Amino acid sequence: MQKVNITINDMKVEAKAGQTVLQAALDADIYIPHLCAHPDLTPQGGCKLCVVEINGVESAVTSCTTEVEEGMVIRTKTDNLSRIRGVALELMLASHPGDCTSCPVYLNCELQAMMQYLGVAHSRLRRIEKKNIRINSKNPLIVREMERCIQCGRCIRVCSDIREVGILKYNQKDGEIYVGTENDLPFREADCRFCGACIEICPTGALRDVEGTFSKDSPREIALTPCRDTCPAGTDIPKYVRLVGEGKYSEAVGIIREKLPFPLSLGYVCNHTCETACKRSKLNSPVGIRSLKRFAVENDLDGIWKDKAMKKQAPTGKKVAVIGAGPAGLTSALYLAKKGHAVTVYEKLPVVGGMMTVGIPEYRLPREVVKAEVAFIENMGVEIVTDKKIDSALELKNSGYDAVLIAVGTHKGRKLSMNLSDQKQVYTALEFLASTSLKKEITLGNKIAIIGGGNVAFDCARTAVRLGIKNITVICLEPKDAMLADEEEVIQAQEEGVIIKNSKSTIGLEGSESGITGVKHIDVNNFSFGPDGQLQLDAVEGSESITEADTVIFAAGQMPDLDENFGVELNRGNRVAVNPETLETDKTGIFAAGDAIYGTKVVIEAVASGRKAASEIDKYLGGDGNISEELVSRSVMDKKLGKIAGFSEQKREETEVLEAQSRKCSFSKVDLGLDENKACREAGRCLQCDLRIDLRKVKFWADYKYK
Amino acid sequence: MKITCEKTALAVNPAVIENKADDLCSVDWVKTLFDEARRASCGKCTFCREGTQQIYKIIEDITNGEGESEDIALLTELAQMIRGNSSCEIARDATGHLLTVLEKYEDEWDMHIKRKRCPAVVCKAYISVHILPDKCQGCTACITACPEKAIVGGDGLIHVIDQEKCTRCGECFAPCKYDGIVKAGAVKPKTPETPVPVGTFESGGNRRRRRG
Amino acid sequence: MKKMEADVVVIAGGASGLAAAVAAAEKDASVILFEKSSTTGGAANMGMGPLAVGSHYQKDQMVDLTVDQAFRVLMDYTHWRVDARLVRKYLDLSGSTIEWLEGMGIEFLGAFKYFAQSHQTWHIVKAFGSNKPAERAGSVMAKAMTDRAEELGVELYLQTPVKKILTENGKVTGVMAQGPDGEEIIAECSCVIIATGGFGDNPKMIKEYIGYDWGKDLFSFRIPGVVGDGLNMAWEVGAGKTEVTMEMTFETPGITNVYKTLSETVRQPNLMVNLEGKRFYNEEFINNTVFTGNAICRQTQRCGFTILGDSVIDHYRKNGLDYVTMHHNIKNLDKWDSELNTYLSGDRVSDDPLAGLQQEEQKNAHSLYVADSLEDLAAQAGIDAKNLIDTVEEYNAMCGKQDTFFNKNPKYLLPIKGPKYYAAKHFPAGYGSLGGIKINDNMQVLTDSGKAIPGLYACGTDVCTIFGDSYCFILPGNTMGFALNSGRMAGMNSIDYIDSDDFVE
Repeated sequence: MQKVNITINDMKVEAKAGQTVLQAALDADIYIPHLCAHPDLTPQGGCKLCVVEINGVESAVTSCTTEVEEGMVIRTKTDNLSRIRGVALELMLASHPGDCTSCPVYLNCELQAMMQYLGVAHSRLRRIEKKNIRINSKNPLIVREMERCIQCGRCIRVCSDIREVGILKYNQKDGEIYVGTENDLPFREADCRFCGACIEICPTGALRDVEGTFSKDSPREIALTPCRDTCPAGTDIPKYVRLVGEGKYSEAVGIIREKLPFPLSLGYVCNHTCETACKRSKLNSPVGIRSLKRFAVENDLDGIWKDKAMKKQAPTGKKVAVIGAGPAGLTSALYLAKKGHAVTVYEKLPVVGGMMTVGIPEYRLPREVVKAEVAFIENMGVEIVTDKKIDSALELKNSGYDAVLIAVGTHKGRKLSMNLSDQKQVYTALEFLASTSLKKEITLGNKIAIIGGGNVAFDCARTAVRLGIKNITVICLEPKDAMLADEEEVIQAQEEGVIIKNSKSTIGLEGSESGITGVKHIDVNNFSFGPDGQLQLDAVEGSESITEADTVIFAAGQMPDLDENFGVELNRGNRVAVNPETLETDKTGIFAAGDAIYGTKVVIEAVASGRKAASEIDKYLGGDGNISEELVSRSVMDKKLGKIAGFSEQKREETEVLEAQSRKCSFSKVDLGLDENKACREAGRCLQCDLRIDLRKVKFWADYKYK
Repeated sequence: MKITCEKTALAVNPAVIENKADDLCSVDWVKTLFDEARRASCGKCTFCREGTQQIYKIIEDITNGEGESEDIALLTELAQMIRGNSSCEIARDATGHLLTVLEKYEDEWDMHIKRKRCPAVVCKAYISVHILPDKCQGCTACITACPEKAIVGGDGLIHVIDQEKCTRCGECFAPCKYDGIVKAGAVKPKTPETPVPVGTFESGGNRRRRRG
Repeated sequence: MKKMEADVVVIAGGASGLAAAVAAAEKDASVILFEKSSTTGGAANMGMGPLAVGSHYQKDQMVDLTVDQAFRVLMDYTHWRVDARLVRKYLDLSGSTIEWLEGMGIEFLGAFKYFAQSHQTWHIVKAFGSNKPAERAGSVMAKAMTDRAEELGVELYLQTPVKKILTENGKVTGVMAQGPDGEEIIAECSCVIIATGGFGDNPKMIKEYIGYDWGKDLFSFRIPGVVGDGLNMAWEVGAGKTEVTMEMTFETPGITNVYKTLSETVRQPNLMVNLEGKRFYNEEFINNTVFTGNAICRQTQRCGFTILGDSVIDHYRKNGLDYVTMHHNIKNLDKWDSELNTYLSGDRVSDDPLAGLQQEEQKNAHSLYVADSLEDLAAQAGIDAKNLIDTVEEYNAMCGKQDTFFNKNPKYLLPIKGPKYYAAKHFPAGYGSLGGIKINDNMQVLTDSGKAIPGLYACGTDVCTIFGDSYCFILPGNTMGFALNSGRMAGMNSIDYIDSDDFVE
């Protein structure tokens, strides 16, 4: 890069050829006030605040539109310049509200900072009340309080020059100029891509994200992509969705694999908080992130991520035992192995995968999927010992391990304490689901009542359907519109003939020692949980009724199958007590993760917990605890989005699902996923929230050395 | 890389204002000019976009009786600033004319601001419209033409304008075949308060009642 | 983690924090100033200038208010229920603070009153290009004070909130802050000065410490970011608590600051009633917004109504409004009809260019009722109909004569007659919280038992309890005045402490 020598306010500055005077000054930490100029945008020279005087040039010039030249002598502070800037700012403020106190960007507003810097306030000019600024200013994602707009045109330029969407322009009506769309169309109809660049670049509070779109707790870069922010494992969702859209399925899988070793399993069963958080849901419906993940894995022919993913650090000589081969334990085992530790996983069941294998039914998550993903972990040198129950973590540790991780999950079902609940043909959900999964015998009758309303209850119901039972009732405390289970589970169960009784509290079992005949329940108006987690019911007096049943399944919660002999401190509900910062138990070197510490949650939570445990154990063993990976190198993102007709209305692509009749009689997978066309279209629906992170931040006057 | 606005100057004939006729008000003329200028602005440049708007608003106030004594100085400062620093011809041109007019017709501006008068009898806030009783033939043509129904009278009666209702729109001038409707500034013609038969109003009536 | 070190750390860069930083640095101390937002000035950016007594402006303008008199006014006003030593020190310093600020390049337009009965103590900052008082002129001060601070070597860190005050054996040792990139910063120091401006933007704390439900019976300013950081951090390290008050005023939610003509018209000295339909205030004093706010919050559901009729509106159309405020400068009713139509069309949020300034609660509030009869008006507004009719009848009978109940100035007795009748519903409002951290007159933070926490100082709104139960508008500029002067005192005193024998490493 060729250097150009210039002088600014008697200081020698070395600028780059082709640079503007403004940029050269700012790079040299010399502040020149500016509003319409932005480092990412084509200069417009409109606001006039960046005027400077140059020796040999008669009048003041805007520094954002003037290129540096060898030997240029520039002054940025003179009385004349102060006057020009002052009047320009006064003119802008004449139509800007006089009260900033209720403006959410108070003290983070470039205009307000400019008032400070230039010493300008509302004063001698006439107030201009623009009438047309509010035309069609409402939309579900962008707050446009255009009375605050100073028409610097940054949003217009970022939308047209950088995103190439170009829906914004200077409009003119009744002698007033305002920023709007062609024909004043609402943003949706104008085919806005809702990327948020205009918000990111607005110097005032005129353009803002709708309150509540982003979490306030996360760092801004993460918060701006709510899908990624809410993913417990922090998967870089916008990146892989974009890669799927580009047909780069293997790269997409690499991105996913950076954060989790069960991409396909999660592609089937993840509870996808990312989709709940997806900004697109405010336009119509969220991007089908889970189906895209599954599609990517199923179409990853190259496995280009494998070489990097298989890298292991040199052996450390440390030995780690993991108790439990579920998602938490196996995730942890994988990353510990990568950090060079020797890892052995002990599993009490004859199969691996934990709840992914014995809890979640096969029709939702095919077994070979889990097996393949576990095989990768074994390939990485993790030894898995099945059919091996560990009775004491402490003894295990003392038998020669440097560290132990307890990841036993919650495999002990809970029955409501009531008469007859210990009779035959009264099961916990886990007994029922595990027996089916492990192909063990279990005695069932013809009429099954399932008590509970979460996904597990529906897993039981739909498993029972597939076992040929005709009369299945789910008895659920929650009302119809507030059920805990996923909506698709409820709908598909009903399609398969399962009966759901809502707002009923089970109060007893009917029958005798010779067998159960029914479940007695009472209608509930309302219920809540007291301070100790105690259920408080508002039951309808005299509304007791009975559901006939010869088999009862309690799907009312699980807990870790542990007791005091296990050698670590346990909390209420048998949960392992840990230091939340380090996941270490009361015993040095013994850690715990997954459901075993926080109760029954979902696979992705277990993965996240397993990652954290791996990092903490590595630190404990003397490592740096860094398990982050970059399996796919990040290419520069295409800043361009382009305009797509009807973008806002693009419907979510749904996966193909087996018909109820054909799926009822087998355990084969119900959800058939997306095809390539659908996946490509679905990925194209993404708003690409991450693009705006690349827009550079503007520094305020106080940040500069020479101001 | 100097960025200039693609707009060119407004079509103005400066001769009109160089040798202005007695019934042309320089304040009103510049107001119209700035109304055009603000409508022609492309919006990119503060001085043009906000400046023409602000100047228009100040001049509008001056024509509406809401001018303030500092306004001339303020207009001059704004005009010089815009003329010197605007990106486009429109704003530079318009402010140039404003500066010329402010200098050349200072008295006329002063009259508007301080004495609330428009010497050219153009600015509506400072004028009233009257029907001359010696010209009116009571034909009702102006009554029909008045959009505000501000003229009272009937066949053969001298018509009278209700000054509360009259908006000085001027719709009544053309229909009058007798040149009987006039604008007035500070000095207003004598007219009856309510309609009286044509020919009965004595405009110099007072003097005759004088004693002695 | 980043480590830093200084004699003094100032938490937040509003008026009080900047004053503290400059004052400490002028005593050759090394100072770090952490500010959580992108620029300095805090709430003072919205203000117009501070109180001072005995400034050269007052001398030039022949204002003969002495510090003794001002002290007396404030102590009478507060019935000596405030720290007299602190008040005295504050007022004593205030005159010289004007010159101190002028030395930084700040110009003032002179000393002003806020309303007719107030004293001329309000020193309004001069803004660019104008000799008229301008809203937000306070922002000019922020720049000058920041420049001065940096000139003296104060290290300013923006977008860097302080998270925690660090202590050891009950003594301040530093603070923990968080940089813009999320990096943890530990700044070790001998003194910490808290200057975070109270908790006006924290409805939970307002409920807990002042007892109002924001958006239901309170519509105070919500200056973004003023959420009680300093109070919570101080309390966490053992600071004592004081009673917290608010600079109480009143507003007509959804109308004030949005429909300027409507708003000013319903703030004139006309009949006010409560939900029972009875008078409760000498409306002549409605422009003392503090007194009016106080009177309103004593009524059922903490609300009061201004009752108007077309007779009053017509009077104002002809004669202009009785009270004209410097802030809004609405003199006539030219826009009454258009604003009323917009408001009544129900589309009030989207049509008015300023409506976006409001919080949701204000936007949705229904505050202006219009009816063809007093019965209907009472029914709409929920006022006792019989009492309202009786009150209006009684009031009208007094017009042109004498207010035999509150003895309101007869020139403000305008009869209320139709055809249309109007009722505007007012609620308490205010500027923010006042007080919370217990201090002594040296601005040292005290524990509940009155023991100073070594090295901990606080200033500005976080500690301002010198107004007693009501903001002292009769000495205008008081909040900013206290912020600047208490900040200055905290800055100076903290360095005196470091230099004294009391100081232990």
